[in-house]
Amino acid sequence: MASGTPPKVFHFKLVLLGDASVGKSCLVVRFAKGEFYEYQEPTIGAAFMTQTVSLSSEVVKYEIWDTAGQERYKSLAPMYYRGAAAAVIVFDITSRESFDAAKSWVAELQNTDTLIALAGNKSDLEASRAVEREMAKSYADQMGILYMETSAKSGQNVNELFHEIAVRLPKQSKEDDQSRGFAAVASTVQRGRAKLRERFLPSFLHKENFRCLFLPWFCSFLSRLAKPFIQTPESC
Amino acid sequence: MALLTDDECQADVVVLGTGLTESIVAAAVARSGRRVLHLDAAETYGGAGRSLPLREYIAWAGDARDARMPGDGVQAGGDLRSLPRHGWQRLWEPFAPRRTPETAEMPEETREQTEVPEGQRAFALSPERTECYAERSFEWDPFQQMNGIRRKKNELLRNPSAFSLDLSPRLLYGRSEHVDVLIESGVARYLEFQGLKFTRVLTSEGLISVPLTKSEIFQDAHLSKAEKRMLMRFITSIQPYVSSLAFQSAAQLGVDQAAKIKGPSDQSALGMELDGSWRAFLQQQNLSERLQDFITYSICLWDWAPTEAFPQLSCREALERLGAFISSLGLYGRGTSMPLLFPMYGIGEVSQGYTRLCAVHRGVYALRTRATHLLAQEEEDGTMQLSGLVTCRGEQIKASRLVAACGELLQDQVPSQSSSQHCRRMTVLLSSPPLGEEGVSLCVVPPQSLDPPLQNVVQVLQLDFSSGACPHGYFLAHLSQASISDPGPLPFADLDRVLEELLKRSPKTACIFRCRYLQRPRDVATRWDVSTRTGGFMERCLHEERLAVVSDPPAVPQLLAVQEVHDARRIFGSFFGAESAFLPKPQHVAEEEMSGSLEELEHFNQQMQAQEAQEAQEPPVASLVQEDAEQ
Repeated sequence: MASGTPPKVFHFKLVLLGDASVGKSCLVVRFAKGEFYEYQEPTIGAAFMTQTVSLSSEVVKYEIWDTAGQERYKSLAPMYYRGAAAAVIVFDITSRESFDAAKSWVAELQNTDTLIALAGNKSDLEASRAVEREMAKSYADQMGILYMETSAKSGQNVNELFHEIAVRLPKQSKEDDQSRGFAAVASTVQRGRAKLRERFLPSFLHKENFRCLFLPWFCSFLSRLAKPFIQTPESC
Repeated sequence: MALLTDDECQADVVVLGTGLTESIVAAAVARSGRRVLHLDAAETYGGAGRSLPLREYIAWAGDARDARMPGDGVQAGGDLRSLPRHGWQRLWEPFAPRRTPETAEMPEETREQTEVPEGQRAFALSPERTECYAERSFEWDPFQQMNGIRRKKNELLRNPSAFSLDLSPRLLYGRSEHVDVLIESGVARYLEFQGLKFTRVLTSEGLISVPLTKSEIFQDAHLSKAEKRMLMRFITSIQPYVSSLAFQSAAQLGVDQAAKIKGPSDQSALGMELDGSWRAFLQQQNLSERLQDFITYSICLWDWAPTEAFPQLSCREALERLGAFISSLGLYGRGTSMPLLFPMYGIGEVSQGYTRLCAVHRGVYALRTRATHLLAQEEEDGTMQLSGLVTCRGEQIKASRLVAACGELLQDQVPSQSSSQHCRRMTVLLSSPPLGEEGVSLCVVPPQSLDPPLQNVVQVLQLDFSSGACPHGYFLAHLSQASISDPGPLPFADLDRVLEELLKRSPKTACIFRCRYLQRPRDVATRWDVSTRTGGFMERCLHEERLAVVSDPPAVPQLLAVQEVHDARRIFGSFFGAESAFLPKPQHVAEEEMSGSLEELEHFNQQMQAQEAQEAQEPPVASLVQEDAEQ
């Protein structure tokens, strides 16, 4: 190389999660090959796709795993997302259901070292939007994860999403495990804050839940207390 | 109700159950370009050899209530819409109307009357699902020695996916058919392994590590000088056998070919009878009692004590095991010479790897799907031919061949029977390593080590964070003991004694939970009653090689995965002929290997160039210095 040291190359496993037909494969194909097909046929026999993202001082090489259709009947093998450095959880902005599924994926991966990014795909279908951008954004902020609205069809935000993940991924060689743990902590300060809040404010004490949870409970508690004093027809 | 599309209901092979063997068959069939539909009645992959996260494990092992916490799944600041179903149940329990268990249970759809197409017949399968694990029990803090167990329990349950608990933990020999297939097929790409760090033997003198190399024998602190000499002499004299076996072992040749080879032909050197008793042979070699135990239990990993009721180790088998062990020594892992590999996150992960390979080749996956009926087509000559099956959702699947795990295929109203060989298992979570050092490691307890002697040898597999099986700072121990006789009133007494003995060595170790169960593989032969019409039909399907039944993970060997690839190969061969390729190397694996070696070459070239450049630069510097000196 002509100029100094070659940039360091980092390899990361990246997985895509989400309901069937939210456009996971399309997103990968758009990112890896710059192509889009309305009816994306799953690539037979291909286990991974690879694509690199160049940052200023280093190169991030993604090894992107596709679900291979195993998610269709809620039968995704946990092995698939085990040990992934990053997970892109995709939902379809025109489907409320897919957003709920995405939420459960976030919950599944929350306590692991995996960096989570939430992608609201099909942003070109603005007309039939079912998930508000603000709602998804505030949810993502609350969980301390990245959120972007993408369109595999137009290519909007696709490269940006993977670039942003590359920037956020903690980069260190596998040799120095101690600094690894440390770096991971530093990069997840936001997540840590969310967790702290969780610790100090037990979730069921949240005001939203007060009316629907404590009030009925309190009423039933009262009625139990009152039971001995109320004579019901059976006991007569 | 039907989920599967019509297109997906047409398959070449239907596989029921996602255990290791079934998954390998599924992957091989899909890889050969045929259409696979892979179903499992359970919610998780792995069948009887699955690895479970903590909550599912507790629910499986004991009381489901133990695994839940009030307000489970409610997220910080979130609303209750994100609450999972059991969380809701928990919250509403105090004011929900009291229901009797009968109404509370979801009645499974009974499809007594399946609409069967013209000319076909349905044979009912048993709706009951049994497991090969019996007498399961689970306790938190079994020795009641911990303060704050409740807090610890909540802490562990908060992140249950940090656990991956094997029901039937398995290790692989570094050089074995299984590892070859994993690498060839590209499945190894999905998985990670941990090498075993050390093997110990628990004797009356304490935990002793087993010396494996000449230098280790030389430096060993426990063996006497005479013993060292005896051991060295034995190893040298056995060398020609073992090294020749390394080329003839099942691992290298494939089990089927190895079975044809009669073993080492030159037996005169040691005067060994291949079918004779290994123990007698060792005695003849003047090895001390202790060394005999070392070789038999920790190197040959033999599961039975030399009692008359138990199977005896023949010299042939011992040499095979010795060969498998020694030929895998020092193959993988840095600094470890141990020949065994533990798949990270458990053996269930390996079967998931194969299912991914199958899915990548268009295999269709549906968990939570049970087969209720087999379908048969009436041929012109009046015989019945297997034509497919009906699922619990009423989908009719067309397939001419069926592979089923033992647990998924049982004729209705035929009781399931177990073989007499079984394995007593105990899994404990500890706060410090029971074998003294961290790392994945194995300990063998010969029967004579404790007083009074154990009924049979006990094997202890220690796992830690590095194996992915449990969180940081905790240690798992899988204790197991093979048995043949009736379990008796206290089947786990020996395991408890061994645990006690191990815990005695580090008094501060706390035992956080203990789970005990019997692993009783079921009898494949009695899955149906041949005298009935259904049974007769199933028996004929088996003979015509349209149906294959996969047995449960074996009770013996307790900790080794040896048979699965062989079984899968046999099933695949019986379906499609021995000449069809079994999991051939995919293009991308070949390319990767190629590019890997090319990269290495490039790297080497770069290094060489850098060195040359350095050398080219150096002489002027040197000459300058010389000139300076001259001036």
